[in-house]
Amino acid sequence: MTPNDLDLRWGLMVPELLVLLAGVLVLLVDTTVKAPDQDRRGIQTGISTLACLAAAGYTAVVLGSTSGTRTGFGELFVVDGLAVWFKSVVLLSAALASLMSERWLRNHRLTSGGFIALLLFSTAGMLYMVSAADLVMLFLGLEIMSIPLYVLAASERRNARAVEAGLKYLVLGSLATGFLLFGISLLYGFTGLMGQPSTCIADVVAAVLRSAPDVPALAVGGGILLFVGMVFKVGAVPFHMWTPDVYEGSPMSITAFMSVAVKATAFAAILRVFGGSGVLEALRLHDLLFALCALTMVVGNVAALAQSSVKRMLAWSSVAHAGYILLGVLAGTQDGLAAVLFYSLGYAAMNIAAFGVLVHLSEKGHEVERLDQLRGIATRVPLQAAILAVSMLSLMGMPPLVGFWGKLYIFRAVVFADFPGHIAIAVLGVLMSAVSAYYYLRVVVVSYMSDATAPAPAHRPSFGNGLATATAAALTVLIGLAPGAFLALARDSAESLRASSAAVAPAVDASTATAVAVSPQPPRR
Amino acid sequence: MTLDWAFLLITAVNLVAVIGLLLNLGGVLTWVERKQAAVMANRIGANRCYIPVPVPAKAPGGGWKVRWSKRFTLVGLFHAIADGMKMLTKEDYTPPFVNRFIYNLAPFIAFVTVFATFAVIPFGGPVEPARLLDGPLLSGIGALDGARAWLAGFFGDGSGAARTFRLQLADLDIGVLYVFAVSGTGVFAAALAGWSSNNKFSLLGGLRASAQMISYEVALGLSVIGLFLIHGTVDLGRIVDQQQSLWMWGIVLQPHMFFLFLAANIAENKRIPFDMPEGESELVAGYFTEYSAMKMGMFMMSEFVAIAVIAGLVTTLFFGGYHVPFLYDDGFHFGESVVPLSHLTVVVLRLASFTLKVLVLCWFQILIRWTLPKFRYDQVMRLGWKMLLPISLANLVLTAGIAQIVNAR
Amino acid sequence: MTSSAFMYLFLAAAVAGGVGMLALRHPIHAAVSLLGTMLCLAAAYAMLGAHLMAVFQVIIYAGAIMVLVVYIIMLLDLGSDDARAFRSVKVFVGIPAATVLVSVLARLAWHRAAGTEPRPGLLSSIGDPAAAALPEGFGTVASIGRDLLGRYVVPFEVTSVLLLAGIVGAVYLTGRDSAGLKAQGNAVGEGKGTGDGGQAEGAPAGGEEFAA
Repeated sequence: MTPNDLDLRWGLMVPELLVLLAGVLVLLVDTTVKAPDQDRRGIQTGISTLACLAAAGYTAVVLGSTSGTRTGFGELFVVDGLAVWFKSVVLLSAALASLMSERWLRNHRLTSGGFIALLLFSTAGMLYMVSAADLVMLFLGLEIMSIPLYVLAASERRNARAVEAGLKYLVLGSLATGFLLFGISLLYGFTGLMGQPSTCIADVVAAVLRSAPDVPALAVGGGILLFVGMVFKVGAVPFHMWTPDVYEGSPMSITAFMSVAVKATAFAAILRVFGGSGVLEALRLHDLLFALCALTMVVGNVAALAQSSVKRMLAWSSVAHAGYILLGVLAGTQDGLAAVLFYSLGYAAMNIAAFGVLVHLSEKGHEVERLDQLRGIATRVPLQAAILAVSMLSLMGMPPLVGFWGKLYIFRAVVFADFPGHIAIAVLGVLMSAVSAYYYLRVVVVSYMSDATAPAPAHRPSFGNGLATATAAALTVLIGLAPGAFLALARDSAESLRASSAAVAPAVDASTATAVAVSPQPPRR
Repeated sequence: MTLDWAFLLITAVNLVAVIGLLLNLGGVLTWVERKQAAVMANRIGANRCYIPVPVPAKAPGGGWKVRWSKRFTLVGLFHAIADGMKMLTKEDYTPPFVNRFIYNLAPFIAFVTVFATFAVIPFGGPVEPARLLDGPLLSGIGALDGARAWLAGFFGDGSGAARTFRLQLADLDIGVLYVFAVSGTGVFAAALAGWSSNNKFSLLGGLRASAQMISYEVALGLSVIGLFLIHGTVDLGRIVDQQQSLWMWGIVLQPHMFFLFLAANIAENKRIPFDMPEGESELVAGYFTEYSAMKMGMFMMSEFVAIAVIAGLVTTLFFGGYHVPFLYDDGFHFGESVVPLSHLTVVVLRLASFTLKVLVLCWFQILIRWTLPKFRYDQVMRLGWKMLLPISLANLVLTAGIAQIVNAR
Repeated sequence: MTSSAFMYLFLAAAVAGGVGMLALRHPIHAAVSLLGTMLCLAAAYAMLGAHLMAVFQVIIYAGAIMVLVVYIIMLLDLGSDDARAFRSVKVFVGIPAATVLVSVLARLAWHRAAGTEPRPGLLSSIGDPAAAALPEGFGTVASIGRDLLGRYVVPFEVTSVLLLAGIVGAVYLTGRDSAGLKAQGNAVGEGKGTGDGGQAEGAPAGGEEFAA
């Protein structure tokens, strides 16, 4: 195979390449630009933000303008509606997170080269994972996403909690990667069993569907392991143990980035492999996912009730939200998938807004941790307090903010879906959502209705963080005001998933035919 | 299944040849090392060992008696034998504080990895045993007819056609990768020896050795990838085949990489100027401080055998392997004119060519050892990571570019 | 005949190495037996004709990973006592897991010996080499190289991003200290002009090594 047969369509990979280039550029700034640390931090966060925004713009405008599925690079790389949507979400989160990081780096007097570069590399990994049409690419993307995050979680390496966060994330993350890899190898073996060994996601899905309803244990085991590996990154119960500690120990901006972008990426991968084509049912994963959703919602919300640290509370709340989003996957209908897409975007906006306010209130040696540190911030920093309140209300699901619409679409999709117990789990979701009101409202109450105990800390506000917070808050409100347009977009994007899985069906027959023609011995089934 | 006796015989011959060559070369090199030191230090050197030769002399009281006055020194070559005997007969003292199992294992790892490396190096051209006794001189001798018939029968493939054998222990398509794999395992010898000795100096030596070997392995591998790009294979046999013409020799194609490869190899072998792991001025003897007698001898021996193996590898990659310039399978070709030679002559010439190149390269390494002062540890590391590695990477890029242009035309 | 005898020899040695790794008390003994297992597996691969796999096994597992393992054991100076803590894990997790694995394998072996088909779908074509007809030149350097730089060129190149991220991460986590130490070491070296190698040892080299 010569390079020309590979359909190297570089146009499809522009966002990834932009982000990688920016990462290298950021590293070069450290060695070439002779300037005070502060200016360099500005330059580097600026490069990072601009690159991410440019990539997001390219993704949304150029790649998003033509619908339909485009593959390239030996059919390993795919750009479709799903990829465009999630890439936009990831790139937006990355841009906002790098804006927020400047503040944290300044507080800790750290040089930013490595930090920002790792953030960008991780983003690139996410982009590759979202675009993966092959399990090999998926695995590589996952690793490139995770390894920088293990390091970033431990950025503050003089702090025992940060080191704990990094180590826990590394060890448990590696375990999950092991599951994922083992799952991939079993599935590869399974496709070989079906006649044509392949790691291509479409081939694997086709092979599973072809062998349904009597899917071999090999495929079921591989599917479960693959699913577990992905669900770990989502932070669903019982694979959530790392979440609170890692989120608590990491720098605030990284926590925001992880809770939003990693989650979105993992959902993109789950949708790409298990979404919409009936693989979930064929592999008998549906009941497992049902239990997972119920557990995740209950444990996440109940544990969040008991937290006195805002960061930990937000960590548990992110577990709970993972449960809501998984409900959309569970529904499996077109509406459900569209709701997953919509919710990922909305969650990114509101969660980043909340963390942005916390970053604003933090100083070195004065991280906002405990809830009572938020006492009376409404009088001290009214604008920030308002943004915090908006994001909390949105996370709770208050209309007309984006969180409300997200939950509404998810629950509606579940109610109209067709699987046993769908009403029950929708009711459970709504109940748990009501439970969450307690801990979200507590933040609002504390910040508005109690007197300030500590004097306002004197610090310079960070332009970058302010911009990020304002953008996220504005998105929270704006999407909430016009949910229909965004839902329509999400529906279009999810349509591509349905289209590509429909394309699998004729491909099944074709590949069976070739397999029979090529292999000396016909496949067993 | 019947055994392929012809193949087994050739393999056995190869095995004996390789082991014999390496072991003897290892011994001889200890002498070369001493002699070279003497030459460079303007001393006489290495002339103490001798075999007394009986000389008849007149006894004072008349008559003859035998006096052992004549000394047969053979330019000091007996030193190698004396060394060996000394190592074998000395007390093999195992200190009480060592980790016995690992301590005993380490010298064997060092020894085995060095020898195993040579397995893929072709040390002679293709041999057709059936044609060995042909040629203008030998074919006239009737007494050899029986032997010739036996050779043709034994080494035939049953259908009358003659089989060709390579003078190479293992003809693997992974070639050089095997060399890297085996030499990479050699790290364990130094590391385990240093650790198991339970001695600060040994441990430091072991740590230095493993760090240094891992570092230089990278440059070592990268420095020859340019050659693989040109030859389009990593199979050493094929690489040598392609160096038939003098213009295809590695030293002509990639002269700069020859120095890099040799330097990285010497660093792998932990010899001066890269002898930080042994560092006799600071670490006593580094990782083998606690070893004595033949165990220590095995470390020493493997170092000298490694010199020969490195020379063999460099010969194969950069100096045309067993090829003699202008010599083809049927004789010398100078432009249009051909000087035909018998198969036996060609085989012998090629064996001699390989041996000669190896000897010269061995001597060259020993010359380096007595010429250059040794590095400081941080300099060793800096050289490896900041000089050799970038240069070999740049060479790789450059070679790939040129290869692309050449192929495109 | 001889080759299969060697095959069994290597496989038995590999199993013995695995058992040794679990049974031996001292971490470095365990590491050495694991090394033996890996080398024996490499030999088994080579005997099956997968030379490249064998070499990768040696280069990557024996040459890189085990060196790091041994290095770390050496640096931490672990003694035999440190291994005891895991004994309960061995008993409560290891034995059930091993039982399951062995019973599955035994069942397969039973079916193979009896010539019957296991339950359809459960690993049914494993152990049937005829089912896997490999293309010409499968597993050679050339074919794997062609795949890596052909169809899989993007994953191949993207892996370099992973390595770069790993290097940057390692430098980021350890960078400050070693940069300071390095500057100090250089100052000493250049200031005195004498070979004070011990000063700069370890830290800079160590950092680069982990990055590699």
